[in-house]
Amino acid sequence: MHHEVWHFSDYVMLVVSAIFINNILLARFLGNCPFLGTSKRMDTAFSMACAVTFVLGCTGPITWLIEKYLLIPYDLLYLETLAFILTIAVFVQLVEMVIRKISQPLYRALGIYLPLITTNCAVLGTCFLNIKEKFNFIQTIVFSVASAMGFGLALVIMAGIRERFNFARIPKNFQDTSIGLITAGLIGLSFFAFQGLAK
Amino acid sequence: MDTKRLVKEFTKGLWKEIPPFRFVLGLCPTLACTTTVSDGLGMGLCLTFVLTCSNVFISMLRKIIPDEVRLACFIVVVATFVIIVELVTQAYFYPLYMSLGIFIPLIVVNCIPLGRAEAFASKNSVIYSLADGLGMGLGYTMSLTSLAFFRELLGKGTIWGHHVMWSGFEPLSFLQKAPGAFVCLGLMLGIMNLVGSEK
Amino acid sequence: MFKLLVRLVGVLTGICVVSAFLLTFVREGTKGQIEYQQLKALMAPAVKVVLPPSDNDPIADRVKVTIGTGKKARKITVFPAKKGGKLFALAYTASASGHGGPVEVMVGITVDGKILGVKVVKHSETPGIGTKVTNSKEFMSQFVGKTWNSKIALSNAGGDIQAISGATESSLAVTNAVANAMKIFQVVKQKLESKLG
Repeated sequence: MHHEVWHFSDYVMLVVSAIFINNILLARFLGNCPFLGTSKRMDTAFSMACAVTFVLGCTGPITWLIEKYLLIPYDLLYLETLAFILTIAVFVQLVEMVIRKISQPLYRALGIYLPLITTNCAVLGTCFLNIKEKFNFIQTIVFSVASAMGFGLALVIMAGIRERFNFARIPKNFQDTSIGLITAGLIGLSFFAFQGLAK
Repeated sequence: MDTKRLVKEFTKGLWKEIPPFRFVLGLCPTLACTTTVSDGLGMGLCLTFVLTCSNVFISMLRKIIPDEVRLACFIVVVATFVIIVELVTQAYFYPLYMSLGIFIPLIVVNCIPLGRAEAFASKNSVIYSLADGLGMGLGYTMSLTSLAFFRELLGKGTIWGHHVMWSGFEPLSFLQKAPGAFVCLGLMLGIMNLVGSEK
Repeated sequence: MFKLLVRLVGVLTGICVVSAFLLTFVREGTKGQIEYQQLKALMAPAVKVVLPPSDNDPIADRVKVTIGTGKKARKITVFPAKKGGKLFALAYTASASGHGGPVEVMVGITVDGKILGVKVVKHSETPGIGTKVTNSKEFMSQFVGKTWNSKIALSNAGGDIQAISGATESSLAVTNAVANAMKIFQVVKQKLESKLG
């Protein structure tokens, strides 16, 4: 990454790139299982998108801090994978417990998606990307949230299209996951148009 | 020990429940690591190793692991073997390690090892879990390699890096890009459904 | 309740201990090989440029030597080149601060202290301007033949290295890095020879 000071426009570029150009789902292939699983209805898709944004917005910076102040000083970089997944699992479990205690409606809306997030590779993948791209703390926060928003956007678009599938005549063998993947490919293709935004 | 059952547990992963077609989990590497045959095969073998080892260990420990913390235990066991794969590929298969990138650590959240641990290894004896892990892993390797075969042959005109198509062949570079991966997998899934439903 | 808690914590701890033991074991077994692979990917192209062909693999035979004492001590990885079992040249990296950050160069030197070649391995100079220097073979060739006791400086500072016009700062950084490498040559060579035996 660059050593020079980042200006506001650089952060805007980072956000645009994370959401549109290198969309975590459509260009980096992370988080496909929950993508296909929860995009059948708009309300579930929206809840999932919110839950992922919240979890990633918190775990991204937390794992960055763990990397910087725990793994690097003690020369334990090879345990990165284990440390990150456990952090995410513990965090998700804690959030689930807290939400259940303080708000039942919120729990009913988001709670059931929380366990799915532990194994959502968009979350773990973004934590790795933060480290790999050598982001600093602020860039990590911005990139984590932007990535999750990119995931949410793709999920909501997909749900909007999939709701229409009920009225379409799709060959029997291509129903469900098969047509879902092909649709995702076509959405990804339309996202190629955003590549002109960079430079 | 029942040899017939052993054979059945092994072969079900190769066709009847072949992941990720019949058993839709672990889609991210299926999309991301199939641009070339060598990547697909490498990824498949890495997963086979992790899956077989984690299945055996979890099956050995199935009577000790308390139900309340079983997910945490599974994650630690799977993550341990993923780190071993990470270290070994980095030491002896460096080009593969570089081209698979973050998808090696992401095997932790691939869902197949965790899914098999939950659905099979925690309920069956060691020898059957070994057969299940090997079968599922090799089935996954076959799927990845065949998908990669089509994507590399038609998208690049090469197989294992060697040119095989005639000289005037114009590669469909769309297949090498992200949307091509989605569409290709979607079509294959549909075709597999077609073949499967004939029985 | 208490019994259950003990069991939960006990099993988790047990699994973690076994996992830690296994990982430490694998880590120790692969450590050297991983370092070799990373160095090969990073340094092999540069070593190939700055050292003439040798009988051995300079990267596999790398030696770590310590330069300086106390707080200033640092480790340098030296790549020795041998012919007929005899050391005839060595290569190592040195750095100096440049426009966007440190500039690291690999310098290949004969055992008598004569520069064989220079190649930039790491820099953050401005693309298009600074990279005119870092990619320039002509600029690097000016260092070839200089010895460990000759003055290595740009022409405006009393030396005879011609800076690339418009990229003086980057030219200076590379020159300084090479000069830094030559400053420690005698010590590096001595330590390397004593380690090689």
